Amino acid sequence: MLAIETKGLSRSYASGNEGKSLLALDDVSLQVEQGEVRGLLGPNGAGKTTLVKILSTVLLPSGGRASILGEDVVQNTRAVRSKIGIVFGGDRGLYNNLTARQNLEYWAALYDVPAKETKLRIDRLLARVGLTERASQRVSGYSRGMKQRLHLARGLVAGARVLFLDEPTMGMDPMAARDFRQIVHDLRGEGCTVLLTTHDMREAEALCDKVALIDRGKLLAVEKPAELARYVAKYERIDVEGASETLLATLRTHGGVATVNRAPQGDGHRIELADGAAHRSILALLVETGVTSITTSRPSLEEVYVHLIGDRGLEV
Amino acid sequence: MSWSRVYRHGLAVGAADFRDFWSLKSWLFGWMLRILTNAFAWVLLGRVLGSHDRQSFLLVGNAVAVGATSALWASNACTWARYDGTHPLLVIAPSGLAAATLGRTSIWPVNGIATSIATFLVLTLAFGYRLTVHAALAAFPLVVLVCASTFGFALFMGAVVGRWTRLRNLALDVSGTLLMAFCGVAVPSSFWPAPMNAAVQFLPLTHGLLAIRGVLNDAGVGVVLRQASLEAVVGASWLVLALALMQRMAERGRADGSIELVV
Repeated sequence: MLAIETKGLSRSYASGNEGKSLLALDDVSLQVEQGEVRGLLGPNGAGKTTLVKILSTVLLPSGGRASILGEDVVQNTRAVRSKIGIVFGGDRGLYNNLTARQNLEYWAALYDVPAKETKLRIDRLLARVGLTERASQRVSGYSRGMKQRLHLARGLVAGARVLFLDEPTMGMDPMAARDFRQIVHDLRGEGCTVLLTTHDMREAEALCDKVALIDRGKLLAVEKPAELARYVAKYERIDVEGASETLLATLRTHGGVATVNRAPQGDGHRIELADGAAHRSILALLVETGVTSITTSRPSLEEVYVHLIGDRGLEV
Repeated sequence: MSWSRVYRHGLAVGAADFRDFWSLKSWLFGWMLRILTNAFAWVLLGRVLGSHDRQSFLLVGNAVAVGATSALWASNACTWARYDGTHPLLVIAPSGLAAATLGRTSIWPVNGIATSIATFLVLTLAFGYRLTVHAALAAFPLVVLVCASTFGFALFMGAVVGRWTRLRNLALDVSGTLLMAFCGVAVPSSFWPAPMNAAVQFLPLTHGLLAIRGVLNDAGVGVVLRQASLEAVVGASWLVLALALMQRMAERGRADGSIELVV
């Protein structure tokens, strides 16, 4: 049985007063195996959060079907709700005037966790997310990272078999984000299925078994992170300043170079690679010819989309 | 599912909200001072009119009404789950929205009871109103009843403004004014035109206040019980409507996306 399955899922919203509708999800079909950590990668407004909200029964779909562990999210809402946990990114969704322990006790009651088990379960969760020492402190005094860890504990308090994490590390400092990812990594080891939305490619690479690329409501591709990393490396770009016209002409015909154009900012030029293997030889050539202002960078998520989908002959 | 357990935890959230709102000092010297100033003005108006009966009528009416209007704050508190982002999470929690909302907002009728009793006490002492212990003991559960039935009405208003949260203060003020003006606080509800008088029979406070006046004026057990029963029916009806509307709004929110809106 699949942990998550969608078939032709769509969702539209009314937009403005003219009766127009905005398509937030368009014919999305997705399969996630039990125990898998699946990334949902896409820019802001791509439809990631809408998909998570439908799967977690917060929103109803406009069309298509979706099921969690075989239970339909529309027909068997109650059964789905008892099997899932959801963690939204950001500050919202907690009771700031209560302590962490009180928050978890409340959510345990809402999810009908037996009263006898509640204390032990909460103690374990607090230890797991590193909040034992601060468990009796009001949440209003917590940092962003601590709140996010408490969100995760809340999502796990009912013993969820499928966990939805919606941009969970958004706004966290790097250390807090690293700790958070370690917890998610551990959950995977325990057989919990995780659907993680992010627009951070490195996060997706670090955590996910597979990554689904989504944009403008459409599922574009499902890749393994290694494949995604290959694309990222392949389309690396080099920004240079002070390169002569002769050198630029040479670079345009150099193997592994896709394009040489004016840089989007400044007076220099941007060399986009079509093959990561050419990276070293181009850098050597630049240094040999006296170019000293060289910046290398990886493409943005949107640029990877363009390359990835363009390579397959599809329209983005 | 332990409904009472969810309610109890919700009550703790409400108590924390309340403590965030009022300290003992600000409750006494901010909230109560404001309430008492207003009540004193009304009762003094009765004294200016030169009638002891009118003064007593205004004293009792205001002392009970401040409890009801305090309980109305529950309508405002219904929207707070929208602001702190817990509303969609409560909707999808297996134990549902109703117990959680009832728990979180229950502190406001309790505040209403305390406000009403304190106002009664101060006005009685200040204006030499004769109140026997027997009458006071009989009136107390009726004050509780009025605050409870107003709570049912407040939850209905809260279910409406939960979808349009920016109307919450308007709804609170309008409904408070409605109760103060037409439900027999300053003048008997029969003073108003027949359609208005008929309409306020369906509002909280109207019958409860009549029951309390009945206790204080020795109107007889039958009259008091009849009015108290009507107050209970009105309150229970609003509560049932409120819970149904809350559920309806939550389901509609899942369909149209308004489940997460704060507008």
